Parts: sequence; C-alpha cells; structure tokens
Amino acid sequence: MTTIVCIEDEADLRENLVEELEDEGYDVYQARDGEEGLEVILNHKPDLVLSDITMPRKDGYELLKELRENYPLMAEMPFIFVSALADKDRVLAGLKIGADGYLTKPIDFELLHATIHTSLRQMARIKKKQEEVFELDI
Amino acid sequence: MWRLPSLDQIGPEQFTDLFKSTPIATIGQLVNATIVAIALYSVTDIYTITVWWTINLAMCSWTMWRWHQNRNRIITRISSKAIPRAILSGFLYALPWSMLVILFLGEIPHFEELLMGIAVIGMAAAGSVQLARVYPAALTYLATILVPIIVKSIALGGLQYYLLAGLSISYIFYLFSVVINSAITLIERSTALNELSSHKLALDEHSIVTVMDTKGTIIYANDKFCDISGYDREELIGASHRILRSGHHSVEFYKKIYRTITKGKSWHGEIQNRAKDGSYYWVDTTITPFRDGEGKIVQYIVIRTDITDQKKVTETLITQNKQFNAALVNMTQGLCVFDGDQRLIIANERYADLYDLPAEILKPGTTLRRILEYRFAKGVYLDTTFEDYYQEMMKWVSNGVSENKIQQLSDGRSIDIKHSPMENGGWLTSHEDITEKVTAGEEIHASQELFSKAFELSPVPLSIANADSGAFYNVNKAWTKTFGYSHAEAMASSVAKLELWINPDDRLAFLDKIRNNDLPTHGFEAKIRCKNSQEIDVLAYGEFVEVNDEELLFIVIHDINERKKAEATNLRLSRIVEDSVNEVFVFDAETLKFVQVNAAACKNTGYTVEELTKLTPVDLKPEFTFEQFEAAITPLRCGELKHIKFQTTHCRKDGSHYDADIVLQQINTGNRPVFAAIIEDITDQKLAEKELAAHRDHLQNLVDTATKDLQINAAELKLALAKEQELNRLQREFVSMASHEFRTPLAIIDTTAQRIKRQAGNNNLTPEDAIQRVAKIRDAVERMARLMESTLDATRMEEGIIKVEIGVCDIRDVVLDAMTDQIELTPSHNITSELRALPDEILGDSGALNQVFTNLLSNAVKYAPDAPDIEIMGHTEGDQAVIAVRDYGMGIDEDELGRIGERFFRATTSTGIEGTGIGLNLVQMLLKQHGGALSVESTKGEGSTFTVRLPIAGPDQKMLADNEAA
Repeated sequence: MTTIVCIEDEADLRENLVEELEDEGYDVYQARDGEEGLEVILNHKPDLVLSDITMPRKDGYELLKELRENYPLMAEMPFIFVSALADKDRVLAGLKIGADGYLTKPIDFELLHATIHTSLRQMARIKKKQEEVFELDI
Repeated sequence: MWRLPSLDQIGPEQFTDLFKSTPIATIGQLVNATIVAIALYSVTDIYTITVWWTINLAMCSWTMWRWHQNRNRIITRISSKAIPRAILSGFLYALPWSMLVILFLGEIPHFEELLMGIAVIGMAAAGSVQLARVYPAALTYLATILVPIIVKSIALGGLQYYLLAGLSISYIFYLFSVVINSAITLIERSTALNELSSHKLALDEHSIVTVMDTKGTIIYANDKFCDISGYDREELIGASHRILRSGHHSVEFYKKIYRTITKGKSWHGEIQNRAKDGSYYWVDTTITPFRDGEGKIVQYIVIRTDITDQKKVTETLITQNKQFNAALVNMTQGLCVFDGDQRLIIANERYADLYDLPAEILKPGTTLRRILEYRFAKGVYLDTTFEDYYQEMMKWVSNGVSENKIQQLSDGRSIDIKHSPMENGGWLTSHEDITEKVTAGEEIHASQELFSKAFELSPVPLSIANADSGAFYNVNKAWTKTFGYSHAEAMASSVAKLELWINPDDRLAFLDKIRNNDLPTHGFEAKIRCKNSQEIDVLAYGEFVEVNDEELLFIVIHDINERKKAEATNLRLSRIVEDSVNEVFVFDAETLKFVQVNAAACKNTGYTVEELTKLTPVDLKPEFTFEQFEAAITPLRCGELKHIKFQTTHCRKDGSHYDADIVLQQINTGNRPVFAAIIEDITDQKLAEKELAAHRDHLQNLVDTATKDLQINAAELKLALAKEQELNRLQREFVSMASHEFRTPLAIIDTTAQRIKRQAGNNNLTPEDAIQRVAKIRDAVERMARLMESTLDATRMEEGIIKVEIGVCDIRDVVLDAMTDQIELTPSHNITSELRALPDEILGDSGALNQVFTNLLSNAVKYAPDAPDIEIMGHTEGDQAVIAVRDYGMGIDEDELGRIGERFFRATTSTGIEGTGIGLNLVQMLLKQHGGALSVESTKGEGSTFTVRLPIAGPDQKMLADNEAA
C-alpha cells in the first residue's frame, strides 16, 4: 500500500487531512512538526510526504532541506508543501528548494488527490525506466 | 683429541720438566685410574683395588709435587676446554682396558696375585716411559692388560687362544721396542735440550726476554727484563704488557703490531717503554708467535735489546739535521752543496725556485753536470754556453778559492752567485736574486730625471738659489719667461745682482719667515722688478733644502698680477650687491650662520651686520624650525634643484613681521659652500592679496550656505522616503500575516466541510460526526473573529478611535478579572498571582487596562504550551504600580527583544503559533495613553517576563493634551 507522511501543526486540519487520505486508501502516518516529521519519515520511508511550512521547532523548509542534503537515498521521494503562505514568492521559494508540489490553504481535496496521484505516477514511471535500464545493463 | 704438547712446542723453561706436570694431566690420570678401579671391582676384591688405587694416587701426588716445585718456571696454560678434554681422555684410555679386564680376568685362577704383579710391573713401566713420552706411556698401560690376556689365552688352551697369546706377546715386544726407542730419543733430546738451554742462557744473558700469552699477559720474564723495567718478577707475571707503554707510540702503532703477530708473523721494530720509576727506555724488539701442534698460536716470545743510548744519539742528530734543514728552507738565498765527486749533497727549495728545478733533479747524488744540463736546457743562461760555464766552474773548484760573480739570466733576472770551497773537495754555492736591487738603482736615476723634467716644465716660476749668497743654482723656463732673464743670465748672476726684489728688506723678512716657519699659507706678498723694469705683484713660497752641506733655497713664485685685476672687478660687483634694494643674505652651508649680508638686509631687519653674523635664517623665519628649514634646502644640497623659491614671514629685530619672497641657491665656489638668499619684501603685495581673498571667502560662504540648505532638504526628503518605505514594509507584512493567519482557520473550515460532504455522500455521516465537525468549524470561525477583532483594534488605535477614559481604578480587580477569564479559557495552565504590594487605587481606564492584561496573559499561555506555570506579581515602586507577568515558555531571541511591540512583528520563536503581531502593539499604545510603559526580559527557551509600569497618579495632563493634539 502507498504510504504517506502528513505533517501539520494545526490539529483539526491534520485530522481532516489524515481522514481524507485514509479514505482514499493510503497508509498515513502523521506528525505535529518538522522534527517529529523527520523522525516519522526516517522510520517509515513513505512514498510521499505532505507537509505544512509554518510550524514550531522545525519548519517545512528546514525539513525539506535536511532531507535533500543528508539523505540521498530519499532524494526521489515526492515532497508536497501544503501551506497558508500563498504569495508567489513563497511558492517559488518552496519549489526552488526541491518541493515536488505546492498547495495553498484552504485546501481543495480533489486538487490534493490529483497532485498526490501525479507525483506517485511520475515516481512509478521513473522506477520502471530505471529497471529497464538495469535490465539492459544485464 | 687432547694431546700434551710435543717436545718441539715446549718453551725453553720447560726443558727441565719433562712431565708436563700440569694439574690437568693429573686429573686425566685420576679419572683413568678411577674407571679402571670400578671395572676391577666387578671382578675382584677390595684389596686389589686398593693396591691399584694407591699406586695411581702416589704417581699423581708425585706429579703434582713436581709441578708445584717448578710452577714459577713452568708455563701453565689452562684453557676452559682443557679439563673436559682431560676427563674424556681418561675415559677413552680406561674404556678398552676395563672391558678386557672384565671379559677375561674373571676366570683366571690366582688372578689377584697375578693382577697385582702385572699392575706393579705396568705402573713401573708406565712411570719410566712417562719419563720419555706420553704416547709410549699409554701403550705401556695397554701392555699391562695384554699380559693377563696372554695368561688367560694359554690357560684356556686351543689354537685361537695360542694365536691370541702369540699376538699379545709379539705386541708386548713391539711395545718394549718402542719404549727403548723412546728412551734413546730421550737421551738424544736431552743432549739437544742441554744445547738449547745454553742457547737460552746466552739469549737470556744478552737480551731482554718475555713470554706473553695470546691476551698479552706476561707469563715469563727474564732477569734482564726485570732489571731494565724495574719491576719484580712477581709483579710482572700475570700483568699485561700494557704497563710498559710509554705513550710515545700511537694506538695505531700497537694495533699494527697486534695485527702482525696475530697473523702468525714475527714483528720487528723499535719501541719506547716506560720503566717502573717512570723513566723511558728504547728497545729493539722482536715478537715471535708460537703455535701448538694444531697450528694455533698459543704464546708470543718477545726478545728485546736496549737501544736507549743509541736512540738518544740518533735523536740529537735528527734534531740538528732538522734545524739545519729549517735554516736552509728559510734562507732567502738558494743554496746547494756538492761533494768532492761533484755530486749534490743538499739543496734548498729557494735554489729549486730560482732555476725552476724539479724535485727529482735535486735529489742528493745528482751530478753537477746533470743539474747544469737541466738549467741550460731550460735556457736559463743568457750569454754563456754550457761548456764554457762548466769549464769555468771546474777551474775555480780546482783552485779551491771563494769566488763571486753576477750572472744575468735570460728572463732578465740578475743572480749573485757565491762559491765557497769545502775541505772535502766539495763546495757550497749560494745564489741570490738581486734583480730588485738592480732595478731600484735604476729607478732612483729615473726619478731624478723625472724631477728635472717636472722642474723645467712647471708653468709656475721656480728657482733654486744659495740661501746666503743668493747665487742661482737653477731656474726653470717659467721663471725666465716671467722675469725676462735668460737661463744663462740667471745662472751667471745672483738674486741681489739682478735687483729682483724692489725692496731688498722684503727678501730678508721673507727668509726670516721661512726660517721661523711663519710663512703665511697663501704666500709672501712681494713686488718684483723684471728685466724690462716692469714691476709685478707676486706671492712667494720658499723652503730651505740641505743638499751636500749647501743650504739651498727653493722658491716658488706665484704671479698675482691677473688676480689683482680680478679683485678690482669683484669690488664693483660687491658694491652693486651692497647697494641692491633687495635684501641679500649669504649663509654658511654647514653652520647656516650668515657670513655676508647687504645694507638692505640690515635696514629691513633692523639688525647690524655683526648681529646678523651670529644668526641663521631660521632665527628670521618664525614659520620654520631648524629641521623644516634643513628639509627645505636638502634638494639644493643634493644638487637636485639649482634654486628654490618660496614665500614666508620674516621677523624683524623689533618683533614685527613682514612677508618675504625668497630665492635661495647654493654657491659652491670658494673654500666652503654657501647659500645665497635674495629676498623681496612683499608686505604690500600680500595686503592686496588678502583683500582679494576676503572677497572670495565671502562669496564662498554664500555658496556654502546655499549648499547646506540643499543638503538639509535632501536629508529630510530621504528621511520621509525611509518612513514611507517603512510604512510600505509594515503594510506588506500585515497583508502577508493576515493572509496566512486567516487562511489557516479557513483551511480548517473548508476541509471539515469537504469531509462532511464526502461522508454524507457515502451515507456515512453519523450525528456524532456531524456535531463534532460543526464544532470544529465553529472553533475556526471564532478564531477568525478573534483575528479580525485584533486587527480592527490596531486600526482603530492608529486612527485614534480607541480612547482611554481616566478615572479611579482598582488595579488589583482589573488584573484578577483578566486572570479569571484566562483560567476559564485555558484550564490547562496554572496561573498564580501575588498582588498585595500593589496600591489599592490608581488613576486609569479599567477597560483599557483589562485589555492590556488579557493580552499579556493570553500571550503567556500561547507561547508556553508545555510550561503550565504562569505568575503575576505586583508591587509599588515609587509613584509607579509595577505588574509583571512571567511565563516559562519558549522565550524570545535576545536580538529581537527590541522589536517586541512593533506592529505586526512576530518573534522567530512564535513560528507555528497563531497570532497577528498586533496584541503587544496594542498593549503598548494603551499603556502610553496611561503614561505607562512595557518592558520585556527574556531568555530563549526559558521564558519571558513582561513588566507593566503605570503611574499611580495617572497620566500627565499635559501629556494627555499633547497626545490628543497629536
């Protein structure tokens, strides 16, 4: 089953997100902030991460940077920001440091699902291609 | 196998003791006897063994006694291997013997008696044979065994036993023949030994003899050695040869000896030794190594002859020879000595150098002819042939008289050769290079000639005359030209006759001055009359010269007629300078003291000439220090600049100043370089300039003022712009904040609604679910309302809509109300208060103050989610009520403390916590209205304390009015 880690400091919002994702059939792990998030990611090695930006202890930017810099094995894991920071500069900044998607709050679940789906499909394609290359190599 | 030394290996001292009675041999014999005794015991009784053992012990004791008696004369060599060898040998002798005893004797009747007899005979034989040789002794021992074998064989009967008996008997005969043979040899050897002993005696009488072992230890020393070394024999035996070392020879010398003799070769040489009393003696020494039967060196015989006296004579000769050689080497003359056969005895290096003769030619024994041939072959001689030269030499050699001649060499050198015959028909020749002497003579001649020429050609009139008579000795061309008299006229006459001096007394005064060494340095000024009667001014210098007892006067004349004319011109120039309107100062380049000034200079400065000569330019120039002036004139000194121009102020004697335009240059003519300054008083000119400058400054001031105004305007504009930018920034931040803070509750509302929709669509929405989700929506809405309120508060505040109404206010109630509300809202936190020290009443607006504390408390709770303790403390401080709200939450960064209270500012630590950055701003504004203040102390991670200060008497009326006006 596809595994998703959902990181959000607002409890109500996080609950809604987790429920929705579970209804969609994902295996969901949740975290309250960036630091907890990193731990959960490292423990469960999810297929995708959904994260808020503005959070106590460690914000979303820091989390993503740390993941991309220190954990090369998770370099291809899709990472999607869900943030109330909606101005263009912030969105671009998020994408620039390596996010695969940037959704602004309030959240439209359909859009969320579509984004997740696209990311996962893309991952699957890359994986398949890599396997093909691998076979050719053999 | 262990062997005793054979006869030819025995040293001379051992001839008298043929037993080689060393303790070692005795040990061997005892071992032998013991083993045989054990063997015997197995077949016979104790009586037999006792007899056997006693005989052996007796023999050994006798041997030891002999050894002890002769121990000083016997060379005893005990090596570590000797004892085990002796024991082994004893074994090997005893083994076959014992076997035979056991095998055969056991069955013979009356064998005890028989054995005893055999043993006695055997031992007697052995003893006698030992006198001759050791090998026969061993054989004799064997014979003592063979006899019982024979007896046994006969007793047993049978062919093989007879055969064995026969063989044994024949062997016994053989053995006895050997014994007899040995005895004969012994007699012969004894004779030889006697002879050797006499030789040794002769050697001992003549030479100093020692024997040393391989380690250099003395093991024998004869009487002569004891005599010469001064040591007793006891001291020497066992000592090392080193005690004789004198220190004369190097370590290398001894090493060489050691290397030679350890190779088995004899060494011969002369050694200086030291006697016991410290005196030295020389010995001619031969060291011969002695080898044992295996060719191994066992000892060294050292034979010496005393050569001390001989050595002393030789040394004296060598010293004398050395001195002679040193003298030869150091001589400046080349020296060679030939014997009566015309062969070279000796020649020194100088001789070799003179004729460039190689060393092999100058070896003693070379013939005169050979040396001369070599000299001619090199073309040394100039005007003679080899044969002529040789014949000439032979002639005077045969004459036997000393001769001396100077010989020119082809390279230009002159050699003074002195031959001296010697008694033995030989001769000694010294050769001295006198080229330089000859050259020196020529040089003197040349310098005389040079002087004459210089005298003649000198452009200065020179004369040499007799001091008394004034008769001329010589005059030069310049003299004749100046005074008009020819050389011949002068030489035929005298100073007085020609009436050269216009005033003859002047001449006498001149001579007096020369005699008293009192002549002025520039010369003696005089007037001289020429031949054509013209009178000329001259400067005369003179010196008395003693030549061949005649006192001559050497006079140098300096015609100064031309100079006198020049002086007149100079005078005119001086006048011009003196009368110049410009001030002229001349000062010394070194001391900087004025040496010359003109009238104008004195007049303008007010100093007299004398006063000025004590001053320097620096004294006149108040704007210069000595160092600065030096720095200014350095370019002139170095020649970098020809002149420098500058303006400065001069100070007069009366203290007044004037402006001076100065041109300064260095003048290097004359004895000492000087600086000349030409100065123009430019006071008037300066005044005009000053007026001009004043006008210019005025204009400049006007311009400056205008510029300054412009700058102020620009600064104001800039400030306004910055304010504008700051406002814009705040605006942007507010929009960003509001967007984020509103979006979060919106997201909650939206997602919850979407969830409801989905659940309802799936018919999956239970009433409980619905209630819970609606509650969520309402919470979010409330949050939004709070945000809006807060934002509105700020806006109202800004626009002055919120106004405080000052009245009597129970501050404790206000704080407690806010606290109770907060506890209801967030029961998770434990809020305590201590407000007793607060005044009962203050002047203020209860509503506004409630808002202040509500804000502070809600902040305390919000920013300390994990630290439930919150404290409120109140006290009075002078005319102020002080209330502090303390939390133990996340705290604030130190560098952000100053910005707390700025509108929309949110601390970094507040990330992720809802808020607008308006609350504290509002608090601050409200407190300001009360004339109070808010301060913060915080440590990041440990919590914050917000302190409110309120004046008990309420806000200043004036301040309030000001605020309202604002």
